[in-house]
Amino acid sequence: MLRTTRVLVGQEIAKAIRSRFSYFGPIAAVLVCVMTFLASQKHAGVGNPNAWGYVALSMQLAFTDIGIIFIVVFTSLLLAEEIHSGTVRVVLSAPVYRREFYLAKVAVGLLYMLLLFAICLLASAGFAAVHYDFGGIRDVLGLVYGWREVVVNFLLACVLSCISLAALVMCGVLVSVVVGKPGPAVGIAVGAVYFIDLTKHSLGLNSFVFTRYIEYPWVVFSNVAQGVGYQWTPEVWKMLGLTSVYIVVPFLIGLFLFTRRDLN
Amino acid sequence: MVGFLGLNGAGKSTTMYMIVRLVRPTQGHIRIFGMDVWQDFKRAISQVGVMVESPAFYENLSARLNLRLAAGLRGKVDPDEIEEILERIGLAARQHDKVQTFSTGMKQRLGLGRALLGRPRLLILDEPTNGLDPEGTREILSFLRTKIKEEGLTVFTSSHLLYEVQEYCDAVHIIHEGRLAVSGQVQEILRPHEKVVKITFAGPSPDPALLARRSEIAALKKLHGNDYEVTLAQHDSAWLNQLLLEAGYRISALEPQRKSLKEFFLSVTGGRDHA
Repeated sequence: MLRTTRVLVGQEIAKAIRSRFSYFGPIAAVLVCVMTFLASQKHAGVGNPNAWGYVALSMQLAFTDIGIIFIVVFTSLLLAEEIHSGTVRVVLSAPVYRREFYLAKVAVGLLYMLLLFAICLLASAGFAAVHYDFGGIRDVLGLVYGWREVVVNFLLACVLSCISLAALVMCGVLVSVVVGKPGPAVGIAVGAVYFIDLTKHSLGLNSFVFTRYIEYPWVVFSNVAQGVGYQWTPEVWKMLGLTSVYIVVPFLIGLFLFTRRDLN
Repeated sequence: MVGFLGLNGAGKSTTMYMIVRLVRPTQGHIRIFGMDVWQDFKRAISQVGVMVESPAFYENLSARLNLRLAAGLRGKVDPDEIEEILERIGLAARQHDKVQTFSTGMKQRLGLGRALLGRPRLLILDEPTNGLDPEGTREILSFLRTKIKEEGLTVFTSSHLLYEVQEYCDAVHIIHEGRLAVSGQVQEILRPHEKVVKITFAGPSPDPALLARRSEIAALKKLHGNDYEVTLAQHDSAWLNQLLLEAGYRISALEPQRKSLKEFFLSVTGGRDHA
């Protein structure tokens, strides 16, 4: 099973590399970093700016809208395109189990998310290094948080942010399986993200929606970067619980539906 | 080569999809070379090449890369085999072009080439000659016949072109109203019908009324010129020959009539010819 899945992941990457859409996300993410950098330059004299603060702001902005949209579009196309064009029948009439193909698609969705995240992070860090310092956090009274503490919090923010984005990937793949047509799948997935975002407060669903946790780690890390008090717990436990549900449940539902679906 | 026929919506494609596990059967078992496709899928399907309906491709990729991806799914496929297949299906010169630039016929040939990867023992083809011109159709079917002879390949194919099936298939299955209506060797199914005889008289032809009076003759139809079609109620063409000769008529041809596959198919499915 692992060999086939590995082959399939390799093939999915080969296909993604040859698709123009795969490049739009990273380009857009870098553009957001540039714009954030230019905007932060205007306010360079305000407060006590540092590289960590810029990176936190940049990542927060990149994954509030643009990053999410590209991940949702990419993942909602993953299986819908194959089902609609009929190429799924080609793959599955070879010695390939459906679960292997599904796993490969999920893996590629996660890899795309990680790639987008890494590009955004590298671009932010690159721009930040031009003007700011990646050292410890200081204020007028001296050192507030040492470099080691900042790095630990930074890595924690990265991991937590990726966990939330992984839930987004699973939801995108689920929509892809359920809808089975690329256009409607993208429309429904993107529409759902905005609809939930706009209505979660008025419908009182905020505590049940994982998307609010996508920027949460960067908000906390911003506090670290600003040298003010920060607190991960207990909110982080709620975040891990909720995002785990949103990772596992859509993954299993998608897998169940895909393995049971008639592909005629 | 086995032909699989049925009216539109009879279930030909669905049956083929069930064989390769794309559609879940509600009941029953499907075995390929003795292996149950739901219990021993990988071993069973690794011996099968499939081309279902209009073959789908990754359109933004080249023909060659599409074949390489398909070969990757089949495990060990000799790289030379891809070259050979591209050559045999006549796409070697276009192998680096994107599939989206291909005509329907070229895609059909590429789909067939893809199904042949890994040297399968069984080839399942759904309308393999769709979109091909007569020359392309002849080439593909001759190519398949060669493969059958050289490699002992079995081909299970559906087609709406009944003359193709009659010409190239050894056996035929006809599915009608959800059931297998007819199954057998083409030659056996279409063996000459002794009761319907076409006669061509060399000289004057007999008075039709005279012949029609014989109780052994069920019907008599004048075709054109000196040609008649006689349907016998009893006896066979030898008896008719004897009768006419004894009556002094000169016969230049007497031929028991063979049904075409199309006529046979129509008689099985009740007159609609949309296979």
